[in-house]
Amino acid sequence: MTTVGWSDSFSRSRTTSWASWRQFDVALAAVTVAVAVFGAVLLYYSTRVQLQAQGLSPTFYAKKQAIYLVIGVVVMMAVAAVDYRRYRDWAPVLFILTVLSLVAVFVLGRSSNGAEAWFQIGSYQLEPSEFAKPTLIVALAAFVATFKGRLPGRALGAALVLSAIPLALIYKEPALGSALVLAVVLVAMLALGGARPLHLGILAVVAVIGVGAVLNLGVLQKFQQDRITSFLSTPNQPNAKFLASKAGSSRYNDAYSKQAVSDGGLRGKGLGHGLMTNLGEVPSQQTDFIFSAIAEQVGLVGSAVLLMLFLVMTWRTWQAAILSRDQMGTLVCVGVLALMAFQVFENVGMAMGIMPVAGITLPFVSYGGSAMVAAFAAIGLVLNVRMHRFN
Amino acid sequence: MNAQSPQASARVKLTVLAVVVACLFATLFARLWFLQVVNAPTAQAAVQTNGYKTIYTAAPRGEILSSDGVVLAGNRISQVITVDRQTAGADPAMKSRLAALLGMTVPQLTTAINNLQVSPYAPVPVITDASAQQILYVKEHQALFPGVSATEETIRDYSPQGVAAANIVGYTGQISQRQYKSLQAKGYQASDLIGEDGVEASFESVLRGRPGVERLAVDAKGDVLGVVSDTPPVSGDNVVLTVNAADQTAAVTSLEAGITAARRVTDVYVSHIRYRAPAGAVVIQNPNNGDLLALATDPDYNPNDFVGGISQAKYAGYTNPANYYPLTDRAIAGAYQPGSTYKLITATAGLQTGLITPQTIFDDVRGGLQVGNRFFANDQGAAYGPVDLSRAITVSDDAYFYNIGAQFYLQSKKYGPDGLQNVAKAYGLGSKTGINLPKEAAGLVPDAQVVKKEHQQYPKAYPNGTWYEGDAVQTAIGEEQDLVTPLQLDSAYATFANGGTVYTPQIASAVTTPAGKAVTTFAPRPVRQVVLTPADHAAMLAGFEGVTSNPKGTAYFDFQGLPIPVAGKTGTAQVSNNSLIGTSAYKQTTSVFASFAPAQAPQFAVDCFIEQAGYGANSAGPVVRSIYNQLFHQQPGQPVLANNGGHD
Repeated sequence: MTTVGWSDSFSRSRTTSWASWRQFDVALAAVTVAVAVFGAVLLYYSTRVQLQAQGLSPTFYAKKQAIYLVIGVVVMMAVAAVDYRRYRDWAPVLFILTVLSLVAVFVLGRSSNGAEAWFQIGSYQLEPSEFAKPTLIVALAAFVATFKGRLPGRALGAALVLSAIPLALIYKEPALGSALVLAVVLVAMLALGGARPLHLGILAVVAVIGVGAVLNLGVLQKFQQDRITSFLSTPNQPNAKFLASKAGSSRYNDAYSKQAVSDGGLRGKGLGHGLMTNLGEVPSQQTDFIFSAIAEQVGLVGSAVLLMLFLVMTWRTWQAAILSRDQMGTLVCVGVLALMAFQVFENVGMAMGIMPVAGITLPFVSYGGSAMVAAFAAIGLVLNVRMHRFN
Repeated sequence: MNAQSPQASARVKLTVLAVVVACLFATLFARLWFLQVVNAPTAQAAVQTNGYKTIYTAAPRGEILSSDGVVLAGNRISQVITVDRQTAGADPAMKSRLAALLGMTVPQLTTAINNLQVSPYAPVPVITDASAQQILYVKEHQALFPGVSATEETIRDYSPQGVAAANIVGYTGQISQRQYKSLQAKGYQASDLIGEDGVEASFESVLRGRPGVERLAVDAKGDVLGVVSDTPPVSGDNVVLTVNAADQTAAVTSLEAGITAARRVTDVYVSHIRYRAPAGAVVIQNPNNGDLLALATDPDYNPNDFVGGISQAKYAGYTNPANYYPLTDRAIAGAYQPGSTYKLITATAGLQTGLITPQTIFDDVRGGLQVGNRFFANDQGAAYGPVDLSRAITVSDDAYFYNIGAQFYLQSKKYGPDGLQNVAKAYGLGSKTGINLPKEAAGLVPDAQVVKKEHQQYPKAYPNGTWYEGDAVQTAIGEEQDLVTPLQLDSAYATFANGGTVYTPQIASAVTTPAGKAVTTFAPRPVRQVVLTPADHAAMLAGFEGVTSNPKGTAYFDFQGLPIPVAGKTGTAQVSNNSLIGTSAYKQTTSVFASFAPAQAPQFAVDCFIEQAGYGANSAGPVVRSIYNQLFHQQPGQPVLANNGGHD
């Protein structure tokens, strides 16, 4: 069987040609915007009552989220427009800027509440760890692609060491969830990038030992450790006894989250309805636990539609990976695929009590500008790869 | 090493990736289905109670009034100091200041604040009946006492007349765990008060009212988001008793005086020590409709001791056997042998069956009756010669009634095995009267079946399982296993007094709104008739009248000077076997008197039981006389004069 190697040559045209735009994956863009719009509408209905109870405008979150959505679509198109191979040349610069922004958070972001994860710009907060996701995908793809599908041990080591810097910074913020997501993305890309099975095996062993050590050596703060290990024993129906217990006080969020999902039932309580949602029983329901609020309002039918949209998004990304003309394109798509699939699985799984609570947002749906724009940028990368599969 | 091209190997890996991602999504769909289809019904039910917190405010309890308008159980305002838990939790300095002001230690105050029976969303009362100075200090120094408020609370209050009717009115107490479990569905809270005895218990649902319900929406942290609904409490309705406060007071004071007097009298016939007279009971009812006018029991208790929780020491005192169980209402729960007052039943049975007529003469030559090898003697062995029914009642000739009992036994083929017992039951003995008060006793009408059953169940205590002629003879004069409550006996005499109608005794005449509008009225409840021909009735009545009016009557001396004709009967129940005489286990005879007056047009049926107090005429008779004095407004201030003379 003869296979065609990934082409290494391409025309370095300054602008993307009109022919490329004909390869634009309308389905992927449409599904992405659909998820974001669905998310913004549900965000409004999920937070309206709570906001009113606090004397705030019921559109406080939804209005901002709509603005982020528009910015996100613009960013997505912009990212798609510039040929991704150009990013390869910028890869080292992107990487250094990312690391610098993460370092800067520790210096400039001191004033934010406890965790140093944000820059405050006016009333908006910029979260570099979110933007680090697409930039690190690009940088890693560019680096790994230079080895043309066979990643020697030294290259693998270099990739790991380089990735460890931003990962460690993000973990220190602390944004444990983002660090975890990036670790998964890293492994997926290395595996696809040609890392040898033996090396991957060693990596897996090291990871298992590392996780064990983290859980047992007190590296994690107690609340993080509790959240990771406790979800398995959380009852489906939190009763008063459980909530009064020591475990209950740290676990009522996932207990209530499960209950909120169940409360939705088959058809849901309807937009703007649902006791758990309207009473704010589940904390962080506009961000990390948005899925429980959605599931309560739209039920199995609506939740399944949302998951299907994510599945289509993943499928189109996977297709772009297959269709990519070069390895860098494939790796970018694989990175984005891993990013989206893992975040959806972890976030939705957490809301349904089958994954630990780890502070990971639902892409395009959870409230937050940085995550929204960064996620659109990531999809922009995928659109980009597909657009440029012929030239 | 596989020589696969990097691109081909990448395709394989991409396929693996697709499979992995598909599995992840499949897991999510499966979990979604489990939560939203399988788990949904239970979760949805739980959610309904989850987001709301409900605060209950107890409604002011309805009052209990006497028929003459006296408030027996009412409410009074108490000054209460409350603490908001959330504020107090964050302010230990305030707690020590408050403890000092209230004269408590900080741990005591903390315990009061942590009272689990108060909703976490409601302020906790830490002291009731706070002094004016304490209230003023808190109000003037609010800055020093954040979260502390002075409010008013209504608490139960029993008037002196209510205290005199403690056994009727009852008391309230904190709901018990068991009561709470069974009443939770009716909206009771763990902190609720509930009627524990008397009318407070039997009319609980009327008196309680509807608690105020405030529904608050709260979030997961417990912060209140808003008031969903607020239903104010609805006061309980009042219960108007048939009991007359004046009559009740007359009954209680006469009984107490009679018991005190009895304790000064020496039993010259049997035990030769003073009567112990530890306890007694009085019942007064209107024989024409069954309305209870008074129920007295002694010893008794003060229901105010239970308000706000009874102290350990007081409760121990009330339950100590040495104090003769003051919490027991002997008028309805005391089961006593009726002694000769039972002759009402025996006479009625004899007449109804035709075994005797008013003219039947029994020649009491020997002062008793020979049954087989045993001689059943009259009291003090007195022989009355030839007696008819009226005279037999008046002088309480046991032999006359022994004979009726013996004939029922011997001629059981003709009169049935329960000729006498059927009449006792028709008068309401042997079963609860159905008075609307808790803890009523049923008494006992013994017969062959009862004796057999007792023997089978407790062969040691009842070595004999056979009903002998001797049993029939003894029960005919209210001894042995005959057991009646003072209420049952009073109802039996009331039935005879009104010409034969058995009424269910009533304790309440109406339920009214707090404004006094009648909600329910209770009509007399006739149950059945005990039929006697006018001639039979007249003969018995003449006998009962003779008891108080004939110089040979057993209670003649008790009723001398009373212008109202009283029909009555003495009873002297032998409680202990004579072999115990001289030992501390010997119990002196129960003094019983049952009556109605005026004899020809009865307005009152009064009976009295006093334990270990001699002949019916010695202690119970004088008490009943004293009561009639007051009921008919005669000879005010006349003391109750117990005596040690006479016979029965």
